Amino acid sequence: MNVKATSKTPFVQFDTDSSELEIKGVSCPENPVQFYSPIIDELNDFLRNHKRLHILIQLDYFNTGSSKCILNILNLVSEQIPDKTNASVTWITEEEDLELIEAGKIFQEMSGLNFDYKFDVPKD
Amino acid sequence: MIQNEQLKKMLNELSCHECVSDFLFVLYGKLDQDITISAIQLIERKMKLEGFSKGMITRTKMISIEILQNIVKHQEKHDRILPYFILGTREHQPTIFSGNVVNEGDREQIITKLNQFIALEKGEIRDKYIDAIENADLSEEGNAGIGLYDIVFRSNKNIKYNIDSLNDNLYTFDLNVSVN
Repeated sequence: MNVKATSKTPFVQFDTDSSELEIKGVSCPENPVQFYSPIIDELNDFLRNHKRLHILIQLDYFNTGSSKCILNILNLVSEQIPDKTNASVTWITEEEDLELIEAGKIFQEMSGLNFDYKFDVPKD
Repeated sequence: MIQNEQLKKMLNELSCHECVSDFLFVLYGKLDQDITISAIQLIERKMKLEGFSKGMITRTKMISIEILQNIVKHQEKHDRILPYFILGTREHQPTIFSGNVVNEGDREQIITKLNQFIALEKGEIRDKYIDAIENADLSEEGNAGIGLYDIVFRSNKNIKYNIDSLNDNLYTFDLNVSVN
């Protein structure tokens, strides 16, 4: 799965060969359910036969509907991969962006997944 | 012409009574989803120029998108009162003023949700916010119904609101959120 970024929706790449899901950009779709449902469906299919996944999230900003959808993705992974050493999230922000770092910590707390925080260089 | 006069009066009142020293961004009139996204891009650009920290810019963007998307979803038509969104600074901190006309059902939801969250102790807000996200049900339209909670959480309760009755079950909803 490869979804191009728009001004309202993130770039999404789900590489089933390398077991990596990447979500990157802005996530403010008018209807987050419509945007995230195909991703959740494909992930659900994948997790029936695979018990290892790395998720890479690098969001600029997002709305609350997207928060709930991202939490649904993380919870699905958490439920389907009982061995948490096989499920990890890399949360990428700028080092100074305390707001997004806190958002990552909240997702980590809610999902119970292992989060690794990495810092990107500022855009400009 | 009338609309411009209304906006001028509003900005003057904010400068005089709310001690807003600088207006970074002003939107006035009916909004749609595309305008909200462009607004966020302009807010980011303007705040960078003003030297705000990355974290403060992101917090302001996250609060702004919820306010703007709420206006898009709930704005009721009125012949004299149009939606507005103003980002200014007060004592070097971003402060947002917004307003739109809402119906009776939205009025009740706003009062219930805001009063519930504003009544919490500051130390309780994070846990309640997490509860709200975990327990939110997404509607078919993708509404989670937690936008107001998000605004209260991110502003650390630095929020004031006012609802006044118009007529025909319509109300003005004015919101002021200080970002710090």
